[in-house]
Amino acid sequence: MRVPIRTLRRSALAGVSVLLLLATSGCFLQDPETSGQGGLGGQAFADGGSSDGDKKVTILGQFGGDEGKNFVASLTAFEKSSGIDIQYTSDTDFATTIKTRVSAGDTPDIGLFPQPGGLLEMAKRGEIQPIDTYLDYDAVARSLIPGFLEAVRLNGRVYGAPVKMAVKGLVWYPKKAYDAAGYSTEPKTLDDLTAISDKIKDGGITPWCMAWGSDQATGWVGTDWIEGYVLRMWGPDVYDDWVSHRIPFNDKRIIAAFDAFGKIAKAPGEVYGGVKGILNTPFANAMTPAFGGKPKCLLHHQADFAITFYPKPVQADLDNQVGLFVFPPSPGGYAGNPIVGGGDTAALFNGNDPDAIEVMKFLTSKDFGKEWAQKGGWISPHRDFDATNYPNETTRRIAAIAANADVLRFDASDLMPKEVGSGTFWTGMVEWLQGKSSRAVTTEIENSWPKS
Amino acid sequence: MSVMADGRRRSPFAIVVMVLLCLLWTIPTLGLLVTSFRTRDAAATHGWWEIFSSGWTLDNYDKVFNGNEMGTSFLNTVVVAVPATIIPIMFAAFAAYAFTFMDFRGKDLIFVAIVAVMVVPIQVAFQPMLDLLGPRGLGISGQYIAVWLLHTGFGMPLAIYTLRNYMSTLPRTVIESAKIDGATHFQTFWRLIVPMSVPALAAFAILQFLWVWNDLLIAKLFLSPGNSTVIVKLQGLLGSQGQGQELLTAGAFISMVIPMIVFFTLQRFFVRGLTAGAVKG
Amino acid sequence: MTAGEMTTEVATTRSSGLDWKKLLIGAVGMWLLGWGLANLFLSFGYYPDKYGSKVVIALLALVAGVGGAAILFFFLNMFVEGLPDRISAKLMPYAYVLPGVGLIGLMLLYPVLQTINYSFANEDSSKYVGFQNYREIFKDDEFWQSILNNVLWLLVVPAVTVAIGVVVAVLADKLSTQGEKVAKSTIFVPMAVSFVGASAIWGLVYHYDIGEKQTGLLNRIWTGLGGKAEAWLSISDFRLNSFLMMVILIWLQAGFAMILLSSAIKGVPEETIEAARIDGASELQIFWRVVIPQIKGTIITVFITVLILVLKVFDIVYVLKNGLDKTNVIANLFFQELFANDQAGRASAIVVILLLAVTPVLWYQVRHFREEEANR
Repeated sequence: MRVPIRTLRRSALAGVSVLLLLATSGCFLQDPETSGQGGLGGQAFADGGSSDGDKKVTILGQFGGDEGKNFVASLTAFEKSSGIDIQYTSDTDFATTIKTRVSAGDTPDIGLFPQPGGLLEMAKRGEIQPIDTYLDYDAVARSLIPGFLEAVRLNGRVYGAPVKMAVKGLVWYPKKAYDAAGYSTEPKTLDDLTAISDKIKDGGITPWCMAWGSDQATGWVGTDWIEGYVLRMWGPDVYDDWVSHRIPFNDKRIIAAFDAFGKIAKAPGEVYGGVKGILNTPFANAMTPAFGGKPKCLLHHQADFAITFYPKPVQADLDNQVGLFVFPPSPGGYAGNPIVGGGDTAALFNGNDPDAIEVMKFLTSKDFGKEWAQKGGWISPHRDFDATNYPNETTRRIAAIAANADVLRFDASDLMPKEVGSGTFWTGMVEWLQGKSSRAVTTEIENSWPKS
Repeated sequence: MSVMADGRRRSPFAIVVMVLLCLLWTIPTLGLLVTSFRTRDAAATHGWWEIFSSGWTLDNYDKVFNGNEMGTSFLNTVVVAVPATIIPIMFAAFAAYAFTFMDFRGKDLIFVAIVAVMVVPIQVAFQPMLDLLGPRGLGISGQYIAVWLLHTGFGMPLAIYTLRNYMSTLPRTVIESAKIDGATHFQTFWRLIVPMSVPALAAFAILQFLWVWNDLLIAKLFLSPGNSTVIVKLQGLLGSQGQGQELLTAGAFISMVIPMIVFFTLQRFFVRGLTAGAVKG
Repeated sequence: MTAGEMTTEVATTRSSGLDWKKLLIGAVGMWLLGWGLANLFLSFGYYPDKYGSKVVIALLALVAGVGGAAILFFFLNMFVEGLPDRISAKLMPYAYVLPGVGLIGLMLLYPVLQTINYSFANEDSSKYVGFQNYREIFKDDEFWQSILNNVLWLLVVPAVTVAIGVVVAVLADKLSTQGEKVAKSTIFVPMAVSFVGASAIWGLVYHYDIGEKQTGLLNRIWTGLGGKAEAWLSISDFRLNSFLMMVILIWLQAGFAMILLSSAIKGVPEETIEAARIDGASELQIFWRVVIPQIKGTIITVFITVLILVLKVFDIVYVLKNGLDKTNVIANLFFQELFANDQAGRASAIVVILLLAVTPVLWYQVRHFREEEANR
């Protein structure tokens, strides 16, 4: 028998509050903004958020600090022309906060989800409006780099659209030292990459710079590597099966991907500082030893946002100081040129508010983000975004790499259930690095996959 | 042996031990203070004790203050913290008085329950409280009063517990003679017990104020953006991959200033000479 | 004579029955106060512009909040005093206890009962599963690991914190007024540090760098003494990493212990100490035989408060290690189950176990409580 305890409790609590309200009804001020329904008038699936049609739209997202300021700056012109007042709140602990607030009925009009997993969870509960009801779906799909909308599809409908793109699986190197030594800047396969790193070793330098330290999130850097290997060794179909658990996490192909990565991460002499160094250096400082007079290591595998962490003088002269290439395809693996991406996805909680819909239309268009792009650290997920807005050649190159990739797949750990994607997959990577076998770790992660 | 101004003998042992402890306690914070005046690059390559060889900067403080509406959030934090400190003390002092000087059925049971709920992680209360205070309930979530209520509730067990234990050390004869003189409980409470409990009240006030001042979880969930506090603002300085970590060092110091002022103001209650007479009533 | 007999006796000497006037003023006063405050605060939210500036709202809120609470007690007291004396004497303790205990009931007791209920239900609390959650927890190695760590924390932190608190409170008392101020402020400073600050501070102490140059203080000292640089918080031998995290909590909480203990020591009558001195007792003897017995109650209070805090210790372990390298503790396990794994059932069961774990403390507390009553 099914006992809906939660509902019981809710109604009991609601009962108490109603009693409290009744006992004093008519005595309290009424919220002047709740009167009058606008827009779709109840047709919507999702009806959270603030009041409708009041020219005010609330957004909750994860962008803080400079990112937050740039996000707000890129909305200013739109606010002026549309007369809509956008109130943005940032929260670094977005996933927990949005869940708690939605459960209490205290939703923002629009949420910017850093992980599609959390968005889909809300969509399942009927809290989010599918985009086909208010956006020109085909136009949006044409403009976006393929792969983003698939990440937020549930039962055939799409529930959000990206506002920011992260391009993963890039290999960075300090340009001056690297070019001076004459290493190849365009490895065609993983074997070529191994040849480069062997050559670097011969030159008396440890090839790889690597750092995973990220407080309670330590381990995510490793998951990015594994995702890159899975996609390149076995192709997008196996990748999708892996993400959606159609094959177990401890499938032999996944174990093979771990072992391939192990040849770099766990092998002596491949990574500067060894296992102890990897785990105890903040990921933001990973490449710091590569700069300066005599580099300690040369290659650094990280997403596009790595540039925001480089030392100030390097950032100021980015195009001349840092070079990059894409982590190359695996010989005998998937033939195309795949890339792993990520990003923040906007989702509409308040399907009844015409203002919120207006804002969504702008956020998901190619016109959004000029101001942010100029400041740096942001890449548009739209193929037809005007690339002249990017502040340097490096960013333009990254945007082009993503736009021209044969296949783009969303970051697997962001798509997997939270228990795995931001739980056992992270901790598992740490244990694996500390010496556990690939089989043992993948089996442990498989066992933690939620049953239903 | 030398003698101090107030006639007590100087204790070399006390001086040595206290100097050592104070050094131990200060050095970690000193490291943070120094680091808050350094760039991220300098902090990553040099230990903070090498400050003189790697240069100073005011950039971190500048960035924290510029364009983050720190003034408003300081004001908000004061408005949140002062009532959220005084109200629970008032509620708890009345309750502690009843627990110490009055007899009633269920006294033990209620007191045990109070001590027991101190171990409950407050996270379990967030969902029911959001239901009650949020739009589906009373609709006061986002306002100062919601946060006062929450801090009053969550701070109450410790407040009642420490105040009751302090009040039980007060000489009972004083209260009994007051009753014989015909004073009501209300009068006894305000005229006798409150003045005699000042050190404990001040001690608890400091603790509660600090807890409210440095609280992140409640302020984040229950205050609207316009009303948000310094600590919430500080957390918002971080980018999505943790960019801007160096600003936190400056932020941590800025947020320490007011608690320190409060401590210095109330400190006279813990320092020799001023309270000795008051306590003995 | 107990306090109850006391009050009734006093009450009967001052004759009077039902006092309608007091009753009415009390009731109407409380109602008006509630209504007025509620509307005032709602108006802050709905019509912020009418008040001119944020500072005005802030000041009004301050005065209304603090004043409102004080006036509430005034009216409540008046209402109960208005009742016939017999009832009034019986009811008065409840009136004093009600506002505080009522809030505890609403905000802590009710969620606790709900948690106990959920601990027998599945992950989204939609179906009862009996003792399933408890069985799962007890089978989990991580749980026993956490219990072991929690026991370590419980053995070390409260005792050391209280000891340092007593030492500081006593020794600072022997300094000059100026010295006392400086010393106490220094020990107090960590209390003012927000959690974000504390993790940054100790991050700088335990930091590990690859290569020769160390920017972490501990490694700098360690290598200076000829040791090899270590990633301190990753060393799980003898639970070294747990002990290093305990240092942080002790550093944070010593100020708390000092404040409460110091206010207790101020309450020790100078005459008793003087008397012992005249009897020829040494300072150490005075400390053990005169001071300690008189502040025993406060020591117990502080000890139990820190003990309970340690049972809940979470932030430090979460941010620094998230339970990796054998550092997990019960409260972090609870957080992982509730927020990371969406396992409301198992998370609730962990809280229930925490509640059960505190029973010995409760039992001791009640016994101590009774002893005190009997001795007075």
